[in-house]
Amino acid sequence: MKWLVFGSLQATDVHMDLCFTHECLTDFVSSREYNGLGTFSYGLHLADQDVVEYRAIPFAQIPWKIRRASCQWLLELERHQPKMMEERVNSLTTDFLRWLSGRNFDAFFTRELFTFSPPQLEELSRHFKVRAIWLSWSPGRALASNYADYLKYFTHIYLIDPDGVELLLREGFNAYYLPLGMSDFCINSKMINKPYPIGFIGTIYPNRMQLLCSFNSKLLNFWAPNFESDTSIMYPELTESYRGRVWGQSMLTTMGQVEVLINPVHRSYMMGKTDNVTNFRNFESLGEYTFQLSEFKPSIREIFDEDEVATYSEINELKDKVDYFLGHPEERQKMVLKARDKVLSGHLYSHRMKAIVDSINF
Amino acid sequence: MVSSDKNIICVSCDLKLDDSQSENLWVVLRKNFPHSEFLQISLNELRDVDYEVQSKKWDSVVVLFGGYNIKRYYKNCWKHLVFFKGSLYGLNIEGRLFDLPRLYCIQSIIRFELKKLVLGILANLSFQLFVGKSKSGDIK
Repeated sequence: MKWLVFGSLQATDVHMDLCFTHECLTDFVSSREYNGLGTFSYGLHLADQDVVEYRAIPFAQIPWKIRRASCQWLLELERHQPKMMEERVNSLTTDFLRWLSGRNFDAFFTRELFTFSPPQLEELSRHFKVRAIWLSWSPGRALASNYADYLKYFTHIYLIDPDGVELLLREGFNAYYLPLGMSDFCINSKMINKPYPIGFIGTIYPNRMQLLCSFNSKLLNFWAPNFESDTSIMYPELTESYRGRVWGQSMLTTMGQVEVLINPVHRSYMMGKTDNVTNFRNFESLGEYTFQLSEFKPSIREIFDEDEVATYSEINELKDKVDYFLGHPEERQKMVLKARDKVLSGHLYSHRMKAIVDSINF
Repeated sequence: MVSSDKNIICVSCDLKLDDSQSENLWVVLRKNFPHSEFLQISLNELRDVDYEVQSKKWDSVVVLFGGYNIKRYYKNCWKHLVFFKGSLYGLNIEGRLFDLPRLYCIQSIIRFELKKLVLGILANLSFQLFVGKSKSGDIK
């Protein structure tokens, strides 16, 4: 099957080393995006599909190193003038539709619901018999009341949230549950020295601050994009443990240096609702041979047994388990290796993309 | 526990809180200022003249913040930072009470607002130059 994988400019793109074969066409194998569109393209490719990846990213004429700095600036300016973003997206999607004419593909895959306008989605549906979308947020359970106007153009919808799938099925959509996985680009990672006993990598939400404050600051190390100097005024005891921001490959390297990774699994889109999802860290940490203490979710336990991934439900349990596992490195390593083996044999993105192909059943 | 001599604490809040958030924060305030009276105000709704008169009666001010930074909530605190002479505290939505360092906060707010202003001008200029004049849009 011949696939067109589409993505527009995302904030995380500027931290990746994207390689382009032409202005908007990427060499996703060389790009080695472990957590971007490229990992899904690569997964499809490994699932024996014919894949072209199109990235609607501006400044197509200039080399990526300069281009990504320009994109970073553009994204910053767009935060101050949202019309710029609207124009940029509209202009680049129009270019994409123009590029598409005269080309033939069997299927379309994207991770973005609102990039195309409904008339553009209408046009897309004339080009592609199969239009698949895989979202790591949950339409119907998040603040996006008009999602159905966009979702109706997709023939196959995949969500990481089983409750969200139920909701979409009840509304008549062709929805499937598909948990996250590990990037096939991470299967050859090496185990490295781990100087950080306890670590957290991620965005700070209200319940996460309470969680971080409960640890010994000498052992705790955390990396967060939104821990600012103002935040350290509010939480001075965390300043000593804060190690900065990490993106792209350096995030994986940092994760590999943590002995026990704390992994709260809450998805921000849920806005306080109960969620039951896996997250990226569940799999990325295993790619880096790092032991995780994950927040308990039934979805995670469906994939990993208790002797593979340890979980916690509340802070005292987490603290007790962190203390226990810091003192039992061999048990930790055994669990990581077992969980990693399981991921390599059935939970890579190539497996997930194969599941998508199988569900489409041409 | 924070001591308070005059026992009148101004709670400065421009946020819309739900009942449960509000109750949690009042628990923190009562615990930290057990012998104080509280007076809740909104800077947006208080005239300059009234501020001058009322603030003389306050021993301390506790400013409520919705997130993890101070600079984005400057409307709720700049007047206290500049004009209020007594002790200043902050309280965030998680119930974390902290000292509000006057000089740092003023610097942080000024830096943030200046950056916002400059980027806003640049963004509008770029929009006019590269997008507004072109029907198809030139950011490619």
